[in-house]
Amino acid sequence: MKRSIRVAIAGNPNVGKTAIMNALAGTTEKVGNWPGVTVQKKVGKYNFRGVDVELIDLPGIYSLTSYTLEERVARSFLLKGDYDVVMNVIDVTLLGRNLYLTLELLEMGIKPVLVLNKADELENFSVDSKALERILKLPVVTVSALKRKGLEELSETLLRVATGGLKPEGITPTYSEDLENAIELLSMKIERLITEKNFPYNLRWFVIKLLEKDPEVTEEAKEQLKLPQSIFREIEKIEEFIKERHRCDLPSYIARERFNLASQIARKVIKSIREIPKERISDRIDRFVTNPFTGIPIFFGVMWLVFKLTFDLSAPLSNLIDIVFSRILPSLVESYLSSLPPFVTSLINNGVLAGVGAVMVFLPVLGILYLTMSILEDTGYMARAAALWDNFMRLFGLSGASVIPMILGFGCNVPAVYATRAMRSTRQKLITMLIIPWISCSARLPVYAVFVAAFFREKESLVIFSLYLLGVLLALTLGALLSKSFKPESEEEDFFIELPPYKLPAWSVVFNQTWIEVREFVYKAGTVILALSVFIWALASLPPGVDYAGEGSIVGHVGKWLLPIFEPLGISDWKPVVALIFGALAKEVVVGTLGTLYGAEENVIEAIAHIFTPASALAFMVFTLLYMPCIATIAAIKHESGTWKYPILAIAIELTTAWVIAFGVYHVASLFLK
Amino acid sequence: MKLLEAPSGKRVRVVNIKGGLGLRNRLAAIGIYPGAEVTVVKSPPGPMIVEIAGTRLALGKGMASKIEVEEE
Repeated sequence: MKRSIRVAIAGNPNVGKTAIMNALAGTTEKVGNWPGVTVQKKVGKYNFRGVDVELIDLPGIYSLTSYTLEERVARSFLLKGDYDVVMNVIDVTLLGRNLYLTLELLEMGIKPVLVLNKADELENFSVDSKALERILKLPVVTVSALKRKGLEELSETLLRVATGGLKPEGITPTYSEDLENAIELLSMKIERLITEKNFPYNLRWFVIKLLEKDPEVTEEAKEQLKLPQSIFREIEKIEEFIKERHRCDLPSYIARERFNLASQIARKVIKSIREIPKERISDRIDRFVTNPFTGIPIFFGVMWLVFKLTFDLSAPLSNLIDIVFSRILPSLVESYLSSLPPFVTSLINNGVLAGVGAVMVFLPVLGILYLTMSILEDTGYMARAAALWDNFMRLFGLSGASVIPMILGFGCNVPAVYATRAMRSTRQKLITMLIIPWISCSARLPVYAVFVAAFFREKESLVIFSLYLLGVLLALTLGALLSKSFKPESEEEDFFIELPPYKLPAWSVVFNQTWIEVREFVYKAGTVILALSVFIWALASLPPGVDYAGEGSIVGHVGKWLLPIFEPLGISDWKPVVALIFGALAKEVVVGTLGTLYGAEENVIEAIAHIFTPASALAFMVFTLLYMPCIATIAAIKHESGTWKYPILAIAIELTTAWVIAFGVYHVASLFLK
Repeated sequence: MKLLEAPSGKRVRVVNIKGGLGLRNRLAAIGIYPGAEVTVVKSPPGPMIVEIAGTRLALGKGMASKIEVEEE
């Protein structure tokens, strides 16, 4: 008897694969990326009757072609066969559509365990799972991940199949005579070649993919199998014939055949109880919510609510955490650990506590934001909002799905980066992630406030608004530029968005999801941020004996050394340069550092009024807005993209742009401002 | 006519898709292929919303103008 089994979970998007995984494996889920690509990889583990079960959640896909990254990831995993059993999750309310993928799995020679999920949502009909079992010759388990029903039976079935106690027979899907003839003809021609070359694929699947003109399979057939040209001419001939008889190109014809078979099977097992009304209320809501005239005001209303909830509810908690990390713990360290050498207490206070505190204050914001976002996602609104903005965002090479992360960025860039997780297109997700740091987050406001108070009284709102606008315009411009340089995954990605049915959020799912994300954030961001803040602490405290961040410290030297770079921006002192270096921890730290360095914590405004001119103050604000993401955002980009490449790219682009724009602003402003 | 021009509430049949192989195949996988029946939930302004095999999809303008349909 096996001690451990691996289960691959395949299914369409939105069928509840992750919900099933969480229901089975609790919250022990691990999130990462598939090797080399930024498609999310989720793995969950649990123990069932002494056997370790590992669940691998494949990306949600409609079919097993190789046109999208998700499809390629899922397909290559399934082809490699590094699993004991495949569980095919089906949204039972969309049985006909979902069986399409099942038929493709069967074509590949995979005999999955079928999991009919969302059984609790069936209203107008019921599904005869025994009949489905007989028709497809596959084990079928009905579950409700939400209500935690059928899970025991599911584990039992998976275990039995994985250990060979139950051998699903599985049918070979057979299609129309015309298609079958074509498959047979081609199979005969290449069968010998495949056996000679010891090719691992199922012959019938390979032939169907050739007929579908699947790019990967066609390339393999040409490069590795070295199929003669005559075979491809044969496929052309078949296509001519199909076109003439069915007015349809060959790949579409095969899809049609699969859909026909899938819906035939669905019809046989569905028992209709109630007539489905012709126009549903949700159709009317959709028309309202996605029409620009009514939809845009609704959207801003919803976003305002999300903001209000997130920042109002989290503020007291964030303040509390801030007080704990910046006052209570440091004073405890000073009173109880005073016997330790000063550099140790400094390390604990200025390095570890300051760094960890900087992360922890984000926690309430993130927690509540995740909560509101998963509620929006779960009710079905998020997809509508994305659809609403799609045409506008496309002007900048982005998609509707980037709107929500960007708007969240005004609150805080960190959750905004994490919100890109909901985006289906990896390319769009990466672009959105890279432009988010230019959306002016609330941490930058204190910096603006101080400088505006010192130099632009009576024009405060105009100056601050211009900075916000500059950020958005540059973000959109960068989006447009990046979308030209990042290679699209397919000829037209993200051209459709599935609109899930409206429903009340499932609280267990919402809370569970939030918990997983928060925990992930604390762990991943915590480690990166801790390391970086200790590093910056070291720069500010060494060589031994200097004032923290003083003239003699490494940062002091770095500040002076970097000063020539900032002089063209109108900055004539090394202290603001050090403030910018510390601003990498969190943007609001810029103000605090200026205060510390000028020894005027209470009146920074006066101090900077002597050092800056209106033009250089403007340039400094612009530079602060643009120069680099804070380390929590860097950690988020690293985490979400799965590589250091993107945070480094973001920093490089932003530093350069910040300098160039601040330079321009300083010189133009010098002409107008005294 | 183009799918983009089909009015809300109409049921239409896909006749042709003007686009490359990748596009046609991806659309086929979600149920948009010559011969398929599509219900128009909402036409522009805003995104085109259609229902295919029980799933509601929002299609971009570019997309909806590449799909040719006829009334049932």
